[in-house]
Amino acid sequence: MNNLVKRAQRRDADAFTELMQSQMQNMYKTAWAMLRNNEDAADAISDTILVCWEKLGQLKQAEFFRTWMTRILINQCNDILRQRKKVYPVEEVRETARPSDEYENIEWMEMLNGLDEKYRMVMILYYVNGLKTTEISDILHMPVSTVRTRLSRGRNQMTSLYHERR
Amino acid sequence: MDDKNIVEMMQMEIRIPDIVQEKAGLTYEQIRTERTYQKMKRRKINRNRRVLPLVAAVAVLAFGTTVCAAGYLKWSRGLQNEFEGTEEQRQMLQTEQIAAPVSPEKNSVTSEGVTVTAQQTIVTDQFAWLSFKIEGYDLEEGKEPCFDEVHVSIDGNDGISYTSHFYDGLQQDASGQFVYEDGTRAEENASGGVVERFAGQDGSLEYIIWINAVTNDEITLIDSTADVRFRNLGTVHKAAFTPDLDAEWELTIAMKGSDAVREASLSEPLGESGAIVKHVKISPISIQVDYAFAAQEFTIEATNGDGENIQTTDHTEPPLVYGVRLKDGTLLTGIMGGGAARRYKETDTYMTANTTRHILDTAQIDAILFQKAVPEQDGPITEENLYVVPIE
Repeated sequence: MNNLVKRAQRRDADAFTELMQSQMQNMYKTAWAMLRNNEDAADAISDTILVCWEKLGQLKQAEFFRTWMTRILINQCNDILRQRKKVYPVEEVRETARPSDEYENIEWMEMLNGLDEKYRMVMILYYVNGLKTTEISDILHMPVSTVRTRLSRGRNQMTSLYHERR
Repeated sequence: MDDKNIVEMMQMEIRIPDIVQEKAGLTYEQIRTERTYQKMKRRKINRNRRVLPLVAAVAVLAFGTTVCAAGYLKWSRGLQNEFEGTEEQRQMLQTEQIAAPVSPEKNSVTSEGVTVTAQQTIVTDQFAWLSFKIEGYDLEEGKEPCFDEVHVSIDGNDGISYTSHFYDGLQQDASGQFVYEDGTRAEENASGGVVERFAGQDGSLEYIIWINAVTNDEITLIDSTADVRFRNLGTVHKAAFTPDLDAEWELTIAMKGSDAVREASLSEPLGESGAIVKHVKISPISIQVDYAFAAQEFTIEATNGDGENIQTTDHTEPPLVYGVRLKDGTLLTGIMGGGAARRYKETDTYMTANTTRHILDTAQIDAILFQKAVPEQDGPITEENLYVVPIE
């Protein structure tokens, strides 16, 4: 991935596309976990792609690409959540997954829905995006101890869900 | 259920919804269209260059090449950030004529109230950096400055590879956090994004052009002349340029530079990789390695911007340089910057040349470090993931 990052930093659009596509699963899972809506997730991801293209020169160490990109994606998701509050102050936004998407991804979405909201993002960032607990602490603005506690509880909750379904 | 099961559950492959892939595809297309548009405009200007009346302010610049004992250059903010090093190491680059200041009398072009001043160059045989100071542009808070077009040629040759950007005042610390030049943690804006500091204390901006001539045998950077033209100044947001000033700034820069390097001829196999290190050339800011290596072609499955499955062909690479070991045992890792590679199929040889983000005292290097394996998780690479090749 580091070579792709470096080529993309030299404004190689093919390398950049390949790089971002390689992160699509992570990006979608993260955006969906925050927004629970495919249209909003699509907006957050496309804005993230643009911001990454624009700001890639800021990234001095290619090793930190995924952490850097995840931070941008979460900021874009937070922007959308803030706008939602302005537009829909009371009404909750309904999930708009298309039937085919819902069907194919149902196992993953059910698993995620079974997790308490407060554990969901920590679990996604740790297990899907591969971030360290210190990085998660920084991105989510919470103490590392809280991240570790939530990870531990999230794991327990997943184990319970797993046994319930069996 | 153990940790392995949790990882499998969380990382299970899911279907990316059409709407997500479609919007991403449009975004990739927007990026490519923007680039195509830029290229078309550049070509048009180049073609008409000889017949159009000269409307831009032009200055012919001569970079100071005489090194005065007490006249050490104060490096620009951006270039100082580009290369980690001590004041002594920066002075050493000037003494060796790699870094050069600009004669202050002849280096400015003013148009529409904005003055562009060439202030410093760093030139080796394969790479060059040019730093420009931009004064008189009132950048709105929270905006990112951008030239609509930047065109660079070396000795009249347009076929060079270069990238350029406004210096944003940000650095990354060892843990990847963004910090400002004074080491304080970068602030966040209302959206949670990092707040850049484009403007220096005097309100000026800095623009940096990095030229990479590794893959172009026709270009000689040392003692060359760089023609640089900036056109239209404004701001950029989500890759869309918003014009502010319709103007042109054109500068001609006489560059110096040095190709002084430390060299070593070797025959050192890199484990089971099939690569043998044959030759290394180390300058204080770059490392070139020549390998004996028969690169193998392979096919990979990928998804294009439209979400379609495609097959592309790539080739294997030898282990790449990851840093150096100093004579006192210190490992300088993760210091490699941009660069390029060349593969010579006929002779089964391979060459890589990269800049370093750390100014090196070449006499103190006793080994080159090559990346053996990439850990599955992102993060620093440890010594067990490296090949150590002594160069004494």
